[in-house]
Amino acid sequence: MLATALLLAAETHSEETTKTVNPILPTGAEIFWAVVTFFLLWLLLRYVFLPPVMRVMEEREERLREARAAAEGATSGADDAVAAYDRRVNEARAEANAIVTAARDEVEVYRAQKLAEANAEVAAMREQAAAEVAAAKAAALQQLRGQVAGVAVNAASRVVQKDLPLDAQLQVIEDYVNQANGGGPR
Amino acid sequence: MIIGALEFPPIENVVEWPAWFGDGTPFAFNKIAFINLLAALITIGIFMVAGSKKAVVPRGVQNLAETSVDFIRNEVIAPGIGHGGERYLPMLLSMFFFLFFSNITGIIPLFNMPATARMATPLVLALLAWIWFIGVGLKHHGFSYITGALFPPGVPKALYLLVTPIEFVSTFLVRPFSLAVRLFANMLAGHILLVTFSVLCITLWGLQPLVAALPLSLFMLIALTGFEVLVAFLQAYIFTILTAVYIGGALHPEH
Repeated sequence: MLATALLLAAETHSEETTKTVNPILPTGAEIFWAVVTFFLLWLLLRYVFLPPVMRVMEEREERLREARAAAEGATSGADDAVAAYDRRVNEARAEANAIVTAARDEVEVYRAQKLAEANAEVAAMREQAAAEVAAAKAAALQQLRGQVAGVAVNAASRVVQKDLPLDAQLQVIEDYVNQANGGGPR
Repeated sequence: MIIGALEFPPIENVVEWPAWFGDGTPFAFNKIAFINLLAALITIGIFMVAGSKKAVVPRGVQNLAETSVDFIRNEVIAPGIGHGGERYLPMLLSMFFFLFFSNITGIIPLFNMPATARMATPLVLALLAWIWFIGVGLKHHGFSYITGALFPPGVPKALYLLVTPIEFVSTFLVRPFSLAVRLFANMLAGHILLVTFSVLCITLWGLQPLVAALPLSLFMLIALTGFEVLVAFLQAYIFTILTAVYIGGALHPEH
């Protein structure tokens, strides 16, 4: 910085000019060199030195575009794979649900069938038992009726002091019981 | 010029540079011409070196060149011209670098003079910008570019008496003038400020009782030198983006 200041001071002191110079107006030579140097720069940059730089930049842009497209393709492929996986999982889940539902239905049918069979068996056993009870009841009643008739004939024979024919008396009693059961006079 | 104890150099010593060769001819080559030539050669050198490298990850000079191209594309052409502005990249890039290196020599030791503190460089580039944007307008819209600029649509016809002269002066006369003067005045003012504080430092160094004031003057000199770096970049950018805006206005006058 000090060197700069010293240089400026040296330049300041070095020239004591007597002619008056307008600091605003340019000289023809400076205009000439400004035109020459700028057009030299412009033309060389335009046609020689800028195109290689632009080419490198464009190649890099292209490479970046391709890499980005490849990355996007890979991402898209991964998304497709994930979607396919999800689809397969959903299908498997649906299949499993269908199997479970079918098994449940099958079990339900089997259970209903077995239940019906059991109910039918129980009903048959109940009917058989009722028939056996009715038969036993009829037999007991028949037996009771015979014994009662015998006792009654015996008692009647003792009352009349005479042997009554057993079969005829039993028939009379039988008829009477039947008549009583049929709703006749008691 | 002597003010009190200070001896300021006359303005001729600050802005006029003797010819190194060709004195008295229209091709006299002085310090300003050398700085212009150097600005062109440095820019060419940067792009020559950058163009010879093809690194995927740019570094050094290649990085500088590519960043500059991106800067002109994104910060100058995109906002200034918009669609169809890519074809003006070489011209605007050349303009920016040429101006920046012509400006920055104002703070580089041994140069200590921005070439743009002389009117020639700003004037040449401003005239080029002027010719360029009018040429672009005529090329793309024919003579209707001129009529469209002078007679803006939507303005009541009676107002054309007022608007047309204003548009003519502002669009076709003031633009190159303002471009050139803005750059020239900023750089000359910065240059004179640096000279002033340099002279002040040297004078204070020699005046024993006042040497205590030297740090303040030196601080100002350093601060203004830093400021001139910013000014060098900013003025190059302003000149380039205004050129782009003028070209954009000629290319898309409807905007």
